Amino acid sequence: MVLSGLLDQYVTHGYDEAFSSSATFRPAYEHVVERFSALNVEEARRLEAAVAAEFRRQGITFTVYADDTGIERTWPMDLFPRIIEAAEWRTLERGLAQRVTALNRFLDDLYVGEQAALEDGVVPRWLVTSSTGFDRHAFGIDVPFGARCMIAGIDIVRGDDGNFAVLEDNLRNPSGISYVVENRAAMAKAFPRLFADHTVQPVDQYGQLLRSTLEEVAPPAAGDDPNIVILTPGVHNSAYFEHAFLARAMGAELVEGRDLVVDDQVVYARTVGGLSPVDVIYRRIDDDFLDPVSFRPDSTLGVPGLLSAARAGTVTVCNAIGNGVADDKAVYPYVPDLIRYYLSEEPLLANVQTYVMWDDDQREHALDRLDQLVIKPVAESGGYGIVIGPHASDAELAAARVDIESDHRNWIVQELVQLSTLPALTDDGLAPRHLDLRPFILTGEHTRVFPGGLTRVAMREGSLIVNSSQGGGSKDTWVLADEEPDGETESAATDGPVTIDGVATDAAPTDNGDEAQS
Amino acid sequence: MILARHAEAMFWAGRQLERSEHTTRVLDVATRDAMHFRAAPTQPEWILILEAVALDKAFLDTGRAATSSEVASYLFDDPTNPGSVAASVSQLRENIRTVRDRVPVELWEETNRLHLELESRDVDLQSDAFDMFSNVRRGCHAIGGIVAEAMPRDEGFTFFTVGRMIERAFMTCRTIRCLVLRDGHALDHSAILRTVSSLQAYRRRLAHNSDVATLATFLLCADDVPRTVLSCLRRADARLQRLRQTAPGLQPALMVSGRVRAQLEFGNIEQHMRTDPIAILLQIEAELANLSAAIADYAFDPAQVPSIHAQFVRPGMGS
Repeated sequence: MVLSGLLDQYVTHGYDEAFSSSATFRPAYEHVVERFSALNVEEARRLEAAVAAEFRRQGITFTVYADDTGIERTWPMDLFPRIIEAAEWRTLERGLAQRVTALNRFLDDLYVGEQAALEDGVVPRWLVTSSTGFDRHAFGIDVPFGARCMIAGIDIVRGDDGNFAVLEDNLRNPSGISYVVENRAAMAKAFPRLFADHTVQPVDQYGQLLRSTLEEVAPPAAGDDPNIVILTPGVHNSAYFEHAFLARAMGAELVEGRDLVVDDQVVYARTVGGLSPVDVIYRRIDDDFLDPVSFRPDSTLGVPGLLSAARAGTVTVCNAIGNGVADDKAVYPYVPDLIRYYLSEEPLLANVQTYVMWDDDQREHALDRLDQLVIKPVAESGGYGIVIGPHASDAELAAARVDIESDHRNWIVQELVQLSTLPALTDDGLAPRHLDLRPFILTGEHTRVFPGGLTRVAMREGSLIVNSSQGGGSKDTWVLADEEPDGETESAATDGPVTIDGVATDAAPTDNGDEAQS
Repeated sequence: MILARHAEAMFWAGRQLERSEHTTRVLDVATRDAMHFRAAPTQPEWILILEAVALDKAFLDTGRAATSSEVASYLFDDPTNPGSVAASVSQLRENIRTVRDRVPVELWEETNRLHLELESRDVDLQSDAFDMFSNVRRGCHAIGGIVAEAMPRDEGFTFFTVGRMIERAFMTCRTIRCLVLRDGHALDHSAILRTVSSLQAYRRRLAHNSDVATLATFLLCADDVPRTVLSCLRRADARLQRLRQTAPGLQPALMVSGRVRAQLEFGNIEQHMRTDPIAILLQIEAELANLSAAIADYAFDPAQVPSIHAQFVRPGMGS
């Protein structure tokens, strides 16, 4: 096929998901490349505008606050989809399940176990106890199956070498799943015929999967049909759309703190018929605001006494309190060791090479090469406070050096990953833009990886920051189903989740971790 | 069982849908008839229109003259008027957004669409008023249709319907008062019947009889015309009765609605309409307010346990 139309100027730099070189597309992308080659910029922009208008009409928006007025914005979706082939996805799936299993074991060990990982020196005790995410309120709060992180979002990147690596763990309130589902619906509308050429794993079963996960972790006394609610800060929260989406997808009640009340260590919802007991709370508000009795007394978002109910075991709070310690960026460098420690397996997904600043040798090494590395504050999220060495001025690097020297605990330094690229629409046709991937991993009795995830893309040329707060967009993410009819391979679509229970793993480690490069 | 807060949002959504549609219909009728209004710096017909939608005092407080253009823009989308059509639609949308997870997707989308249309268009009421009015009415009808055809008959539907019926009954009462008070103004009775979508029904029943007491009695008591006060109360009552077992707190509300219904069904309304119509209309309006308050007090605030959100108690800070 001759590249034309939107793709005739396409030049790759580094690893591109769709093209192995500027003129050669990867086989999985054949039909997509064909379709986009037939479009010109105006046609593509028209489709893009139609998608945005549809998002706006459907109220698929997030709220941005400026001067106390909220403006509802749509999150731009780039039309060129990301495709992950079945075999590649299986590798990722196993690696993600393995990682989340180990992180859950770690959290359970810390809060209701014997802190064996600290005793055995896998993670320094001082590092854990000094983490802002380490929360003494979580001690003694038991969660069924030790599933303290029922919903995890792990940020994955692919570097120049074509290998996937974990950039960040999100174990508290990972968001974005609603866009995974809505992006698919929008793509199906914009390019209906494209889906006929591929067997793409569906994504609209998320609500069902989430519901069964939450049913599994309900207190045993709740019986077969636990009352599940989603706790939102309210209609003015920027992610309210997602909260409503999840409630609708699960058929659960969307509550605010003021709808709940705790009496004698039982949480109730205020209904028109009086108080009705609640068994599982999928809360979308931070620990700090959850219970004004235990945390911030000025919080009106939470429910007074909620922690006492959680401790009494009459309600399950998802994700559990205190998970912030395990997704602290300072603890991240130790995750591969935690996998080895708890599961006796080699990590299937590597970390990005990270230097911890409290180790003198590593710090010295990092400070020498600061202009080639990425400097991250451990306590920030959303892409704030990151200094990218090669893009930083001398003054910024000097300031970062001072910051690091003044507080070793507060910084990590990582090798710069030139995130892989994929064509994205610009005014000059399709051009390579960097992206990452946030798959969602659900844990109840077992760990299940939801197919695909949220692909975030930096819309500015050369930018490596994909966060929505920094002008990033998103893409529909396709995981192709297995073509082979042997039915031997497992998939996390609806009925065959890859499960790792940590005791007897049936998803054995494989050595095909570099399949991505083929 | 529906959350009390969601029940409240549905109740108000019902009221706001009705208010949006009713105000638009009143505006539509009045604007068409305005050519017959007397030429004066302040047109008493417009004051009457404002009374019909309970915004007369608020409008007069703005100090503006009651002329076609002033009143029409005030009622349609004046940002200072919280009872305008645009404001009602925007509040309707906020309430539907609050219950977005439990209502049909189309209900949210249609409400959002109507809101976005009103928000984005710079309406010139001089030139495209009727288009705009008919758009809004169609939008309201679509929303009402989705509620009727796509919503399960659950508690949410109940509170939505009850809110809508109370608002409608209230508006019809105000309209009847205008009819009684009209006193020779150019606003004729057929226009008034049109504001409550009842002209055809009335013609078929009572032809061109323009006796005010007959008209008023029709609008209060005809039990087969959807906008009469009795029809509204029956529909609200029927919905509330179904919740009687599960929400015993609704008992006081049922008592109020039963009382007004009995009065309309068995009292000699036509006689009252001939002797002291205003007194009885005001009494019914007061009862409708009681009904609304009884629902709010018992259904939307079922707290049997003190709530910190209601008390604003902070540890160490006293109450």
